[in-house]
This record gives sequence, C-alpha cells and structure tokens, in this order.
Amino acid sequence: MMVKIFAIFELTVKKVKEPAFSILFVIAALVGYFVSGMGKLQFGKNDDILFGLISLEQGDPLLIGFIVILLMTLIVATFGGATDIPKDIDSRMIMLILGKPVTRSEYLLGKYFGVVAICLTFFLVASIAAFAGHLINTGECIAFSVLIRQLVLMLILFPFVAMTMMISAYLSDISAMIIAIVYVIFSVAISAFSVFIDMLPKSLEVVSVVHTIAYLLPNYFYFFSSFKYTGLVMISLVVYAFSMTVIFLSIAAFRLNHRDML
Amino acid sequence: MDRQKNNKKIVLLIGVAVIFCYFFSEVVLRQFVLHRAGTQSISLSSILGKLPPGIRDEVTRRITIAELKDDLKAAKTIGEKIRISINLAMTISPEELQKNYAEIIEKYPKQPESLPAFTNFLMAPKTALKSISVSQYQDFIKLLNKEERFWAWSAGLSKLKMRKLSNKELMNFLLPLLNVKPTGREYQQIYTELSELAFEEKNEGIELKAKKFAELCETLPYFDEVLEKREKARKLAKAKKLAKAKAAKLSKEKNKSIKRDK
Repeated sequence: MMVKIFAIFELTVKKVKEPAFSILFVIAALVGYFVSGMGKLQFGKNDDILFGLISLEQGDPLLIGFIVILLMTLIVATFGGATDIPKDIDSRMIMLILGKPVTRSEYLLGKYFGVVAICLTFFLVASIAAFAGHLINTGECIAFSVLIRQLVLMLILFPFVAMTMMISAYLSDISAMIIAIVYVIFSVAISAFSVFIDMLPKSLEVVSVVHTIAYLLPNYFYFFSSFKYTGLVMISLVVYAFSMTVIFLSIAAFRLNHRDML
Repeated sequence: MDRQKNNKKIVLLIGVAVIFCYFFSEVVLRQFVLHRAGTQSISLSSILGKLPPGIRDEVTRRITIAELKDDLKAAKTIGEKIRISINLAMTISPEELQKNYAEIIEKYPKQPESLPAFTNFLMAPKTALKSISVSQYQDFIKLLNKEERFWAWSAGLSKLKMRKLSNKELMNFLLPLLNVKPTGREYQQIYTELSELAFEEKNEGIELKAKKFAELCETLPYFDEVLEKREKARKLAKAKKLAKAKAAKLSKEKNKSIKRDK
C-alpha cells in the first residue's frame, strides 16, 4: 500500500520539474528575502478582537515575514489542492491510474502527500531565504526557538491542503478554488465570532448555535498564538491539525469512492 | 466476510477516535485562548463601540440581560437573588418589573431587599397586580435596619404623594415615627414634613412633637458619617490584627534563629 501511495506521490511531486514551479520557487526565495526585515507580530489593546483571539504575550514571537510566507504558501496550496484531482479527472489521467492496482483512497493519499510536499518545500525555500536575508541584513541569526515557532506554522498546511482536496473531490478546479477560499474566509469569520461569543455571558441564546457551526469549521487562529513547545497546547495543536486532516481526507475519500469518474 | 466486517469495525473505531481527538483538542485550544484573553482583559465595550448606535444599544441590552441571568444563577443568598432579579426585570421591560415585584412580595415578604417591591405597590390602585396597605408597609419597615428604615419612610412618603393621598393620610402614615427616637440627621426632613402636615391638619400635639424631633435630628450625625466611621474603625482593627500577626511571626522567627545559633 505504501509503495502505491509513494508512486502517486512521486507522480505529483514530479511537477516541480516544470519551469513554472522553478519560477515559483525563485519567487518564494525572493519573497523570503524581502520579508526578512519585518518585525514581530504584535497586537495592542486597540486591536480589539485580534488581541483576544491571538495571544502573543508568552513564548517565542511570530515574525510578520513568516506570516507573509505562510499566506503565499496557502495560495499555492489552494491552487495545488483544488486543481490536482479535477485536472486528473478531466484529462482522464485518473482512469489510467485507477486502471492499475491502485485504490481510490491510495490515489487520494498519494496526491495529498504530494501537494503537501510541494507546499512545504515552498515554505521552507522562502523560510531559508528569510533566514539568510535576516543574517545578511542584520548580521545576526534568528534564535533557534524563534525559528522553531515560525516552522510550527507549517502545521496549518496539513489540514488546509486536505480541506482544498476535499472540496476538489466534489467540484471542478475553478469552482473548488473559489469555494475553498470562501470556506476559509467563512471559517475565519465564524472562528473569530465563536471565540468572541465565548467571552460573552453564557445566557445569551446565540452561544450554542454559533458553537455548533464553529465546530464544523477549522479555527486557524489557534496556530498563531504563542505557547510553550513542551506543553499541552502544542500537543493539542498537533492533534487538532492531524484530526482535522483525517476528517477532511475521509470525506474526500468517501466522495471519490462513490464518484463516477467518467 | 469476517475480514471485511473487521475492517469496517477498525475504520469505525478510528473514525470515533479521530472525532474525539478533534473535539478534545479544540476544547483545550479554545480554553487556552479564552484563558489568555481573560488575562489580557479584552475590552468588550471597545468592540461594541464600533457597532452602529441602534444595534449597539440592543446588543448591549441583551448582554446586560444575559449577564444578569448568569449572576442570578450564581447568586447564593436570597437578598442577592432579589436584588439581581429586580435589576434584570428592570432591564427587560416595565411590565416584567411589575410582575417581578408582585412575585417578590409573594415569595419573600420578610426580606429587607423586598423594599422596592413593597414601595412600588404601596396603596396601588385595584388595577395593579398587588396593593400594599399603609399598615402592611409600616409592619414591613419594622423588619429593616436603621439606615434602611429611613429610606423606606422616605420612599413610602414620596410614593403616597405620587398617589395624591390627602394630608391627613400622609400624616397618619408618618405617625409611627413619633413613637421612636430619630437615629440620623436625615430624618430631620421627614419630621419637618410631618410637623407641616400636622399644622395644616391643625393637630398641635403632633406638630410640636414632630418639631421637637426635627430639632433633635440636628444634633445627630448623618448615616454616611456613621458608616464612614464604622468602616474606618473596621479597617483600623484589621490593620492592628495584621500588625500583631506580623510581630508574632517575626518574634517566632527570631526565637528559631536564636535556637539554631545556640
């Protein structure tokens, strides 16, 4: 099973050899270099809800440059995750693959790991450029623990790619991209609203309704708070990312297993 | 068949575990964010301040109601319950307040905190939910402490004036005050009013006695002054107690160190 998944993974990652991807990685390196001078992410009391949603008081700081890198990576993830499977279906490539002894779930997992690998490479290339840029411009290295904090941001990519792939299992590439973006915006809004609601008195009847909706959507704000790497929060964050990924992929697998590929 | 069944069971178990992990990690992360937001004291009013005035007032009212409902649930003493329920009913609507007052009189006729309810229905018309006679009100005043009694007499008098009762009836309402010595300077105003009412009703005996009491009131301190003194004395006693405890602790430590040296 692992060999089959790896084969699909390899097929997906091979795309990196295309000139478009080379340009993409050059862009990633340039972006990384130019954002290396940006400072720490900070919120004041005037930033209201963001101040409550993203706590940055303890632990290592998040650097704005790395958040820019993450946002760019998420754009790549949206394109990659939302278009890969629909393109394979449109070009009948999927029939070719599934004609071999590969199950649809194995195909999905291979595709998923492939897209994640491309996104992680993009993030790491940009991060290395940012790290180097910081070193060249200031003559100082970014502290190891601070660097680790920036790399923890990569956790977002796992559920994010799974989410875009889940949507792409239902829709065509362009529609999947649009719906994925709308879903993310909706998730961010509902997550912010649900945490804000939690700060209100419990007797407000709106609480339970908002919470029910909020549980159906990922809360990306959790990945931006500062915390200790050895504590329960870090473990919960990993579990949260992992469980969301599994849920999204299961839905995608269910759809692919019941979908007519013709 | 058995193998298929087992596979299904395993998938189901994994699914349940993943969903459990998702909810558990979400709860941990949410509590972490809320805990941090609490320590950072996110300003709810500043968020509400950004809403349009019409919506803001309604949202603020709903939040106040929800907060009071939470407080009511958390209230430990009957007095607290009555006070909060009055505030809550006041915020909801005037009709709700009337209902609440009637309920308070029925449930807690001997609680000092029921004073606003008794005052509200003092000599109320037949159309009202309840009506309290002057003698019932006077009996209720007997249950109150010194300071509360003054407010009860004062509030009762203004309510009866509002109901447009005759001078004789107003005088009769205040008559029990001539049977007890005044306890604060605030009473001067009530005794002066009583003497004026007696003068208009040509009752010289009552007029003279009320005047005498009014003069006596001038020699008495205000309730606020008494309370202030009491508070100061309490704080002083507390400070003395603390100083004594500190001194005792110090002497104990000294004794210990001497013993050690020996």
